[in-house]
Amino acid sequence: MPIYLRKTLHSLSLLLGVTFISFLLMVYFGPDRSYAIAGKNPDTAQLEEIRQQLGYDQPFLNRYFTYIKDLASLNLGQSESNGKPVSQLLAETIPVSLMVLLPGFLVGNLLALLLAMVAAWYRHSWPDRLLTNLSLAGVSVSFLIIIILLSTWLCTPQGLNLFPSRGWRVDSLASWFTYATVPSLALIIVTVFFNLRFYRALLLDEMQQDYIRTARAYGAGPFSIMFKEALPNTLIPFLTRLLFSLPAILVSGSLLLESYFGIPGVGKVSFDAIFNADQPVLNAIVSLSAILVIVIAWLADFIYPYLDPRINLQAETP
Amino acid sequence: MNPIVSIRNLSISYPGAGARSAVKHINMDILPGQAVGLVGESGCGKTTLALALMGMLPPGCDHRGEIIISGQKVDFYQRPGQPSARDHCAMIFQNPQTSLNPVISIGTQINRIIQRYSRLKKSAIPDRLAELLMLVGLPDHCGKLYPHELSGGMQQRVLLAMALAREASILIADEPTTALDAGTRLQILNLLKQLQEKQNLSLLLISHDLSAIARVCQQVAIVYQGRIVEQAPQKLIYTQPRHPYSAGLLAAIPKIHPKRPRKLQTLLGEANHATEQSGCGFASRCPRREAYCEQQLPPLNATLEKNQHFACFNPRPLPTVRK
Amino acid sequence: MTASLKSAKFSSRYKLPALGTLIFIGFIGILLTLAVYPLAEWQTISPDRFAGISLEHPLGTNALGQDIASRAEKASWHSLRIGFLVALCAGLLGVSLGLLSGWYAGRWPDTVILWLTGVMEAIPFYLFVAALAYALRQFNWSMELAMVITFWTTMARLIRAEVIRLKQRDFILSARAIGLSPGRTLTAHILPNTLPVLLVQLSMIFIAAIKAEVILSFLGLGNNSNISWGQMISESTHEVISGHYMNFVSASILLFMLIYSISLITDSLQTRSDPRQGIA
Ligand SMILES: Nc1ncnc2c1ncn2[C@@H]1O[C@H](COP(=O)(O)OP(=O)(O)OP(=O)(O)O)[C@@H](O)[C@H]1O
Ligand code: SF4
Ligand SMILES: [Mg+2]
Repeated sequence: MPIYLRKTLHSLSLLLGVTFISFLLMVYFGPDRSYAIAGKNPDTAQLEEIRQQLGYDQPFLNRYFTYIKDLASLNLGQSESNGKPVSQLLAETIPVSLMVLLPGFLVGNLLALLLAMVAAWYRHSWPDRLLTNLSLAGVSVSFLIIIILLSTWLCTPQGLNLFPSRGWRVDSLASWFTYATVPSLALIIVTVFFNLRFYRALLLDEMQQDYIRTARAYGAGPFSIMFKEALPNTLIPFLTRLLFSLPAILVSGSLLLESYFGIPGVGKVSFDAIFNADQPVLNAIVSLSAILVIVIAWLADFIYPYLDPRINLQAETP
Repeated sequence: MNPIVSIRNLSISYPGAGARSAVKHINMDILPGQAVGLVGESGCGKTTLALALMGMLPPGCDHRGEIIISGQKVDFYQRPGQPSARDHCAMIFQNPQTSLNPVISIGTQINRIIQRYSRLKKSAIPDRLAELLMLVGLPDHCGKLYPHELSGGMQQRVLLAMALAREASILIADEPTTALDAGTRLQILNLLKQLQEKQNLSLLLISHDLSAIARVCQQVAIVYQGRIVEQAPQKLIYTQPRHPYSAGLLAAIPKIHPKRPRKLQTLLGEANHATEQSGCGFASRCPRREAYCEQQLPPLNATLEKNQHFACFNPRPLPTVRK
Repeated sequence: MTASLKSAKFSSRYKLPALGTLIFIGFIGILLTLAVYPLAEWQTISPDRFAGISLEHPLGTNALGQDIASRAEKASWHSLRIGFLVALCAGLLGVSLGLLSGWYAGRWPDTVILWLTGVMEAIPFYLFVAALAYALRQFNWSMELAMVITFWTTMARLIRAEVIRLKQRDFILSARAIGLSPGRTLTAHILPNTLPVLLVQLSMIFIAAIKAEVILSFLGLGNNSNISWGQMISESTHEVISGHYMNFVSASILLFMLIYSISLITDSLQTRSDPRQGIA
């Protein structure tokens, strides 16, 4: 079987697994909607009818297939707390989340990479020690603490009081700076701490390779050695880390960040959905983010051969 | 003729090695256009000497003495990318497979060096690349290939092309053929010799293989435990080695068509690296050892024949001249 | 010069893990001391709101007049318990599945385990916890269970890779050649050799569990019958604005102490098993 077909099949099997688990948790053991729909003091006949409409009386597998069919046709249902279609809710909130998270995520990763280069270049001397020790201490500080410290410092009368402590009324670049600076800063700080040591280890590994010695012998300077020689060799693990932490940041990171700063993004929506047991919303977010992970993994396999000529999808044996 | 490289009383020890040096009191000259061979067993300090010439010693080494290249003193801890004495030197390494960047095409890797060292216009670079590839005997399309798509011999040719791209006058080759199979080894050695002569390069060829050196070099230095124990023109070393260690190395070369079948000899024992003895370092393995050998270090002297230097109190006698 | 070089090497190699051990011992020491000389009851509400530091309330009181020190103590035990429990269970699960899939690499048990790993890693953690907590409403340990179910995957991947690497080694080949059963080979010969990786990953799970619990209980998704650092921090977000810092400071410093000390020790473990990666 050709390798790309195998990879695609594998991704599909993962999708099946994820949807099965979310079906099991969210739908099968999830909140029973019949009571909510029936209103106060329903009689058993009424309840029975509603349950039939909702398909609760169907056998397990039938319900699962209906669920997959709905998901595949992006028929995500309606939010139970405000009645909006889930797809519309997501279309409104995903851009907000991206605006809050993406810049900080990218800047944080680039900054971590640059600092890692400094550390790897000065390996075992003071800049390296300073950076690695700082990031070890830094990852020991909870994201939560960083958020609270930053917002207390920048957003309250106790500190500098430069930014609003909550909210989101963004329609221009200036208003973006008003509302997104502090969350972005928090995200940059954790991203740098979280990635610095990993990127340093990657680069240090490359710095010990023979081809770096060759480059040095042929007059390459620090910039050239780092960016033109070592970096291309770390691109795969670097991008892998970047891509695979994206879904986690989008869903889990935004959960904390947006609920703390009151930003109406995916995180806030899922936070509200958790507390209102708003099953269709939660369901959609879990399934979609899992799909995102799997699609990213699937895509990565096709990108890698372009980054490293030694990887050849066709020639690879199972 | 003035030497282009002169190494004066050079000693180097790695950090943490204590008093034991990797290279000890080495004196050596390389003339312009001369090919010098450096022979010795594993760990005797050959690579250390080469790295010192390139100004690429690992940080923290202790060193004494100096190296002068074209009248310019070598800074042993040259910061990468700074112009320096080592711009006169190009080096090729033992393991061509790992010495090339695996994710960058051959052409780009050579081009970078052309850009760095020649004053060519951008538009002239592809022609220069093609010229270099041809010089080292690689077909034109190789520029587009990646290192893993080449054989070991071709990879070594690429490194040679990089060395030529550097437009250096001195080429240091650290065991360039050790990782190659026998046939390829010969091709690369021939290419090396041909290039050295055609481009009038000074060559320092490092090897533990005396037969490889014989093919290419005019002058040979034999190193034992960081010291030069014998230094002489190639012919003399092969016909009348004076130091017992040189003789041992020669005897260990297998001959393919010996006139008289001869038992392959091996050097007895192993180099004793652990301690720094006061006498001759080779004493524990030497068949010609005398009691006085262990009292004092034999100096590297020129004896009657002026251009053959050796460090031995009891050298092998000169072969008797047959009438 | 050599002596000073050696001592410099010694200090940089052992100073940081020593600092980590010291902080950890200090942390446990305080908890044990408080177990012998108990503080005020953590749930007791008193009219003494936002009291300052005193003998009676070493860290003052919160908005309800509850003793912060005793709440912090209870929360510390709570975190430790979660860390150990989750590390133990997720570690056990990850190691067993990793051994299995490494041993049968390329065959169906491996395929199934790798698939399961892929599935679990694709599900967003916090939402999974929330959903599981809802599905298992009657069950008090749903948060811990969710962590165990999601945190074993990295361990399994690492152990699998180790097993595949070790399987090719001569001593394993000879153990198999003399007829040692797969079970014996795995537990007696392979498992001990995975120990460095295993220990490092165990403490990573420990740290991840404690961090996650703090965030979950801050968000109100935790186990509400227990006091936790996350709850203290959540209470404190309103107090900080009005200048009452003790709740926040005590919870966050304890959290930092625990995680930093374990990180320092783990890092030196990691450096020892792979000298290129660690500090110094
Ligand atoms: N980076 C280093 N740090 C400490 N000691 C080193 C280092 N590199 C080499 N040495 C030691 O210095 C001595 C000389 O090493 P060198 O690499 O110069 O030998 P060599 O003659 O090139 O050997 P080979 O034929 O194996 O390449 C050896 O004893 C070696 O152990
Ligand atoms: S000095 Fe003595 S021990 Fe050393 S090589 Fe000569 S004969 Fe042998
Ligand atoms: Mg060498």
